[in-house]
Amino acid sequence: MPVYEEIILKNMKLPGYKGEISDYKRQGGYRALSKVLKELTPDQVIEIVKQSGLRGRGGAGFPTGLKWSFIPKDPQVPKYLCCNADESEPGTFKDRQLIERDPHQMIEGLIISSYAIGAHVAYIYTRGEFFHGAVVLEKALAEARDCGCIGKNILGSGYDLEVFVHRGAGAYICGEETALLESIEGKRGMPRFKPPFPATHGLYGKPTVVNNVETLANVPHIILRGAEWYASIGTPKSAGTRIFSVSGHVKRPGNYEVPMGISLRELIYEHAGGILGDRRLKAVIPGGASAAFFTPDHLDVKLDFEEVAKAGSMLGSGGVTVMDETICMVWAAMNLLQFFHHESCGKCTPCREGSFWLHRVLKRIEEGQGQMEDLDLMVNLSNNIGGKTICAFGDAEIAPVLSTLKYFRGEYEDHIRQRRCTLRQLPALAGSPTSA
Amino acid sequence: MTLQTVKMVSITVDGQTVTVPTGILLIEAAKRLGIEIPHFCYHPKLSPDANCRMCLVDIEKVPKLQTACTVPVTEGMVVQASSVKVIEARKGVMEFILSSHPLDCPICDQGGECHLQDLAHEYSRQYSRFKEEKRSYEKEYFGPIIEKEMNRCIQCMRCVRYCDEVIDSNALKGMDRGNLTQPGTFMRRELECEFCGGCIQICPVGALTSRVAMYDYRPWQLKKIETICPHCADGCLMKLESRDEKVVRVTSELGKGRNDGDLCAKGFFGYEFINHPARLIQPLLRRSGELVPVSWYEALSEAATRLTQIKARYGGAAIGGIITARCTNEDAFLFQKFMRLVLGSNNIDSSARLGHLNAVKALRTVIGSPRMMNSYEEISQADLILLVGADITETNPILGLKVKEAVRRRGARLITIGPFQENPGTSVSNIVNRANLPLQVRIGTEGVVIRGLIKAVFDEGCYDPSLPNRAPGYVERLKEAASALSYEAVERITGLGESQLREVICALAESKRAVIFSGEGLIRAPGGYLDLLNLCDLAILTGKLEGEGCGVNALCREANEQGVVEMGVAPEYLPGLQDATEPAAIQYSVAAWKDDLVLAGGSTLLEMIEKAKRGEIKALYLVGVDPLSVFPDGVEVREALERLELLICQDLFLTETGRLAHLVLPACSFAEKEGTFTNQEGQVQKLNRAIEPVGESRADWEIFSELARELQYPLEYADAHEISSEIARFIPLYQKRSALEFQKKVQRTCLERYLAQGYIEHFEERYTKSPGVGKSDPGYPFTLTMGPILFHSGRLSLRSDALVKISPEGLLQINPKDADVLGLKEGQRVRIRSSRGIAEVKVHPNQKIPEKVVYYPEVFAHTGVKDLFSVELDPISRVPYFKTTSVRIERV
Repeated sequence: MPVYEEIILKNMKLPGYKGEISDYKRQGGYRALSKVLKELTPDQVIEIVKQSGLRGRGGAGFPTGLKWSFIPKDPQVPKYLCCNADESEPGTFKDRQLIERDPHQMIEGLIISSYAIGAHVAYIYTRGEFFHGAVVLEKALAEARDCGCIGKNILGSGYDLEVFVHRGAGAYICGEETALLESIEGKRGMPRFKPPFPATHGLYGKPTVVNNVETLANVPHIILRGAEWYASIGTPKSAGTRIFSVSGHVKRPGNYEVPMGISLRELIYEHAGGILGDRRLKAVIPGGASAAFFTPDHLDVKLDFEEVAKAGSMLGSGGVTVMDETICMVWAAMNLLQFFHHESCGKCTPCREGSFWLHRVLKRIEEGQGQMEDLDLMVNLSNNIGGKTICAFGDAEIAPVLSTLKYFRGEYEDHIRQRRCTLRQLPALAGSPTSA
Repeated sequence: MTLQTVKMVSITVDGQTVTVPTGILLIEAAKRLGIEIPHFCYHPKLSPDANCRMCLVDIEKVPKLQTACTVPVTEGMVVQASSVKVIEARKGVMEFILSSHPLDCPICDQGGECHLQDLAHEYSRQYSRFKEEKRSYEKEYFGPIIEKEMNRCIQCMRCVRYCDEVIDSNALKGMDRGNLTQPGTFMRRELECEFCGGCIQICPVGALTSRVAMYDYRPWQLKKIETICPHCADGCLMKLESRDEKVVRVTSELGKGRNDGDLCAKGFFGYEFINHPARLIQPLLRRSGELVPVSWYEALSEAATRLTQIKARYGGAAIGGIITARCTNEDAFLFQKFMRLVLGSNNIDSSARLGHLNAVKALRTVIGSPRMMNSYEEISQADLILLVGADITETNPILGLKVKEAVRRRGARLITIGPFQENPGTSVSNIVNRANLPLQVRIGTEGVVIRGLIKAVFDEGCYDPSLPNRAPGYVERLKEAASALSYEAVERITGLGESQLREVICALAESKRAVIFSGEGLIRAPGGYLDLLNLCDLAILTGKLEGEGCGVNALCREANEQGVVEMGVAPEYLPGLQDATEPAAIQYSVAAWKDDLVLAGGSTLLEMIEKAKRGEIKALYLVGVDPLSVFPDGVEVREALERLELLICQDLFLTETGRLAHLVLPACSFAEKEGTFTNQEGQVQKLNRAIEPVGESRADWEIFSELARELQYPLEYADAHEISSEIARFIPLYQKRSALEFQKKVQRTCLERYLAQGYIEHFEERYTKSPGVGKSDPGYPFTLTMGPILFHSGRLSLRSDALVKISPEGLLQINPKDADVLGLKEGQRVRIRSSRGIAEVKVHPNQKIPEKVVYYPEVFAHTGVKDLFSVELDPISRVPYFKTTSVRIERV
């Protein structure tokens, strides 16, 4: 098995590392901040991050430095940095680990990023269920404040920054950046239409950057070790490492930080130890629940933004869900649509009504009440949703439907013809209905 | 107004090119080409939300379809609004909307005017592919007058956005998630809001409808007539919609009228009085002590005979006439003509005497015109608004919307000076909550605050630099008076300190377009006339009287208060507010009417009652007024009326006063007549007849005309329009009634005269008299004050069941702290005791009310609370004041 140098998961694996500021500083923590404040202008920081090729780790993979450079420079206008820690994509659990085990790494990244865009207030928006994470963050922020890394005149540089932890109230959609902003503002978490983009009209209508936890965690390392070093990892267009959260029917589920561009096969069979019970692989969701399913035919797809997209799915949040031959694909799609129906915020008609409708049809098919025309209906409904909504949720909810229909149409037809689910699922997966 | 050149761009929609201002929304630009892009959630009044996704269009060089409601046009934009791709997308959206929509169109009140029905024809297939069970909601109610049927909801949230963005009430909010999203109230509490009906009107489907006339009509059966709302002086345009000569609902149209399509609860729900079963349908004549129905012929000849006798025996001065400020200009004009020419009496007055005359007189003295100085447009474009004693959202809700618009949308500064406090969290607007600088003062001390502000003008040195040259004497005297006043004295009386006064003045000086309002707290309080003059001085000193977009304005209460005064219904004025002692004006009238006028003497409202009590007035002709229900017992109205030889009451209903009358004449409501109202802003607006007169009722002017004929002095008019024409000959301003362009109303010569010498009159009382400190009697620790409430306008609203359901009885509003001290809870009964009597009412704790003050809605005061007050008559304007008194509150 190839071994790669870990960057952001490294500290937490050290013996006795508790994630306290003393632990972090012992590993060189806050040196990057000190360097930035002493030696670099905000524009230089942006330039370094641009050169590093760092791209957003939340899902869309937008170049981070470029995003920062969109923020107007006018010092009179208040600006905000929001750290998106609302990790709610099913099958994704990397940010949680980054927060709970090594909070200062992302906080340092957050301070540097705030400095780069000229923000004096930053928010960390945590998923409502991350109660422990919020406690850890609050403690870490207090430690950072005590060390002069947050507050007025940080490290004697004259730069001020206040950081607040804002806990979400339990809505998947608040991971969408504009819904997140609405939620911080105390409104219902619903996406805003764009343009205008947060870079000019974000939190409280002011220029705002929203960055994922993993993205920010990379920043101190880029500062210390240089853009060139970072760009040398991974592929030319997808630089750096990526944490993949591997779950499902694998022998060693967990978070794996590997360079971008390794193959799906390597991730599943080498790092995650292969399929549980050495059964046959049936399907993989490569980038969180919003990504289209892959089949064993896709095992050699390279895990970087471009290659995964070219193969018809997306790298998304890095949540890799592995399903073996015992899983019914209709059931899997139904299960996901139940989630999407439950989490649709209800703003845009196609997503709101479409997720409900698709879920009902899938449920009917799974229960043996489907008809052949339902399959075309689902394709048609999906096309009426995709690209017709404000945020990407609409595109997300159709991905499981369209991809299972594409790769596993036979299974759907079997359900319809035999009027029952044709596969027995593993009882180990909670909530899965077993057919007679 | 500064003219900015707007950059124009040309865009092409479906092959047609149009040039439009840059930045307007594509959906609006397409309208200019006659292309209506289908939509549900978009509304020109609201900021776009882009949730329905129905307005998708294809824009060249943009990969995905875009919502036309969010895209601002740019030069050269090429748009496909009806290509196959676009139509298919919309059909997809429509299918989703219809998937869970019920098929209850046959019993839905929206049927026939439903956007969903209309667009469904165009964008849906004839069968549904949706075979699943529809989503459904549990039935919930929105209180007694709004029907909520959420299964019909298409979740466009227009209601929620209207409630927030336009009304600023926030009573409705989005609730729940996904396809169970719905508008709802905080924590699912019962709906408590302004009941403006806006959510009903803006709902594109039948999710929110009115329960007042549920199932009573189909929209296409209704006769729809545009007219003006009679409830207050805001002058809102609305449509009365009737079926079989019964008004069944009111609507308003987006962008039309001074209200721009918005209404308040009174406008939207307050129409049931029109067809109320208690309407008078026949004249009533007192025979052997009883009022019995008689024919019009009998009634009029009886009236004529007795009026002739009284005039012959005692002279015209023994007859008095009072008319309501809710009548039309035509009614009012003819009334004063009738009284002056036919009956030979100058004892004429109207309900405008109860306060508005103070404003008219003051503005007439200073600027020569009695009207509001700013148009509604100027108000919403102001950069500073100063409200003095004006609870504008309660008294004039639609004008209140303009103020809120200025503050919320344009960032105007709002300064409020008055007794009321902030009460955040309420969904009934309180303008104090919106103020940048909410200055709370002791009740009734606004006048002293104005004097303090004038002092601060000199101390800050920010008076109009051209003024000392223009009016050296004026500035000198004011300066002298200001220096004689101490901030300590002002603070002791009002509660406002020097720094706050200076802050107001600095804000005023910094602003460009400053609009100043005075409301009930100033106009209807003792010294109202003089205080208003002082307010004008403040504006003159700070350069905010004549400046572009600036002005001093007085709020009116009744629909045509401005009009009746301008018609000359006051002993001191001829039509056009010509001075009744001015020889030229008298000559003009005499020439026009070809007869001598009686203009000598003349008593005002309260004086007529007093003269009747003394037996000097023998006959009273009351048109739409009910003094018995208005004046406190102490005035002894009943004793006065009982001494009369003839009391004629002309009204919609049999009033308390009417029960004492010798003759009761049934009058038409505003819905049954034509004519004009002059709103507070000075817009003369036309009323149209929506239904035939109820019963045998007649328009007021018609009755005057008929009576004149009976009295052998014909005042003949074919219709109200003929009277309008005569009015226009008297008053040039009435020649262009529909002209919305607004001319600045400061008459230079008048202002110069005021600055040169006019100000000297009453200067002593205004400035040099040391302001009195209100004495507090430990036996009566509370100040009771009366005023309007949002849901009522008077007898009209009390006969409108929907409004009565919202606000069924008078509740004494008390500060929660005081309530706690007294151990009072919501709805508990208390006894209010003043030196004049006792009344028993229920209490309603409200944070808006300051401590040691209790507030009672005037509209319910006739049941007893009014009798706790004593009346004070203004020596100059002869306005009777009975707004505040000292009381004790006792638990029952």
